[in-house]
Amino acid sequence: MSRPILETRQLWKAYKNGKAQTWVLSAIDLRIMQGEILAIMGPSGCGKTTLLNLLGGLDRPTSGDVLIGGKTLSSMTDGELTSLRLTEIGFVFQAYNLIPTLTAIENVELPLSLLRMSKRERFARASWLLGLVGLAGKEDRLPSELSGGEQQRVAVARAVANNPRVILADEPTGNLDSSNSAQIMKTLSSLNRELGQTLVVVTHDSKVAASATRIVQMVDGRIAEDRCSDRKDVATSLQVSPERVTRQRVGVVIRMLDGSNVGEHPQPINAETSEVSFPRGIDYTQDLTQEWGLYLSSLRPWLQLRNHSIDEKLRQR
Amino acid sequence: MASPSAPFLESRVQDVNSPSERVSDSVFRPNPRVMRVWSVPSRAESISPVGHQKGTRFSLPSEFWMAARNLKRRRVRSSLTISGIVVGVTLIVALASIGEGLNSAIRAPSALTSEEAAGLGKVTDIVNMFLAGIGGIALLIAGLGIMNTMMISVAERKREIGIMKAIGAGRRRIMQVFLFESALQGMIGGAGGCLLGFGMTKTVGVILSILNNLEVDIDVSFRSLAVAFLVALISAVLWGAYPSWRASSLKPVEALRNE
Repeated sequence: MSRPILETRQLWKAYKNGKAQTWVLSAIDLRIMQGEILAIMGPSGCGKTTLLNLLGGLDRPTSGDVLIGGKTLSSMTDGELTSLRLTEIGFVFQAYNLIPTLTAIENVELPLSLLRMSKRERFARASWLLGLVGLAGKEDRLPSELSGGEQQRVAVARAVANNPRVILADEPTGNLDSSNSAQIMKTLSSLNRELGQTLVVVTHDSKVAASATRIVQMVDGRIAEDRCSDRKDVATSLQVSPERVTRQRVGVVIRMLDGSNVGEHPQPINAETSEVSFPRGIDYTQDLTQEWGLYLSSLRPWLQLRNHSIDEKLRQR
Repeated sequence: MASPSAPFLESRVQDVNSPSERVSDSVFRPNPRVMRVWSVPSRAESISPVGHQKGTRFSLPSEFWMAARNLKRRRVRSSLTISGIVVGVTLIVALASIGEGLNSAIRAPSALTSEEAAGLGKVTDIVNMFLAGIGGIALLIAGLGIMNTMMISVAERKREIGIMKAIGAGRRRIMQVFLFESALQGMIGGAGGCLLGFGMTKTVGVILSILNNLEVDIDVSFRSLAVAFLVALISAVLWGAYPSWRASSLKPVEALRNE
């Protein structure tokens, strides 16, 4: 198993109200692996959003520490936290939180321009991302001219614009109807699958939590339950069906249980029968989503180019 | 990023291709055989960035659009602020030019005796100082107006500041956004004031020459216009500095909590 991308160590957080102190989080220990979809659930006021803010470096804990990719947040200055948020973390909020005076595409371009990407590059990437979330042709609309679902999709595009390793979503579907929230979750989880991004989502909605790979229940600032989800299409039950493939077609088709084709994966082939052979004793389902995501991104020359150029920008900083 | 996955992928890729081929090679120089069976690259080709290019639409920085649209959105408040600057700059331009004009009229060989001219000169000096004082006070009030507008703007847009901070905008960037807005008001007000000041000065010149039968032709020097414009711009930036600093030093969580 890979090392955790996000980790909290004995995280405590109190809010001061005059002289009284209210403990919102007590001793949170959480290890989140890369490629996970983690749903944080719990009643209102149990500290879900506070935990998310701490994970994203928006707030500082009273005691304890948060580690992102092995880096401790408490030792960072505000400026370092800001650039960490720019490069490693994407936020999606309940209230969409687009900049009202910028058009859809300018909102998506904002994080790219903070990386000092050239106009041409960021325009191309932003319009590609908007196309990906199904908003092609609405690039020049202001947020007030878009519906709630559309605004949230712009927000998702903005959150992933810098290709962050972690996406933190605070009730991303809280203001949306069921079809729109299904669409948002579909977008988020496909990004998780294809780019290997880690997704942490705070939610009340059990439907949203159903698309998670792991569910954390919080009660009164503590983790009450931490379990793997019974999601059918990932991890435990990803069906890898060896299809007959010719020598030229190196690879196998991987299908979801509902029959949708999610792609193909190179496998050792048997030269004599031209068939894919699966060595026994290897659990293909373990960690497959993450490996899969990395492989997928390697197969996208254009996307890879984009990500590569982002890496370049990061190196220059 | 590829490192944790390398053993997994490598074992499979090596069986297929030459044993020396590494994952990183296939990442940056994809194997055409693998490419062919994959459906996504066709989409990647179809979204080639060239087709989406729309010329130089983004030739102006996004701060400009943010500032301009914010001024437009809050047009009543911003036009009040801008008219304050217009009044201040108009006064500066008009008073500077009228002072210069009167001086040159007095010094010109005319019906006035030298004694009369000297007396008149003293009077004009006093009048000039008085007028400069009025101009300065007008600009001070306009500056306070800018500051007030910007403070309200910062308070109203706390949430927006929180979003920008969450996205990863640093303090400098947030200061830039607000300073730009302040400077834009200064520039619009300065330009309007220069125009109005020019018109007013010429009108006063005409009225003076009709009333007093003096051959007064008041010139509005380019220098006085430029100085007045710059004074407006600089004071707008200075008065906007504190509100912008306040905006940039907000804590992200507090800013986001603001509804």
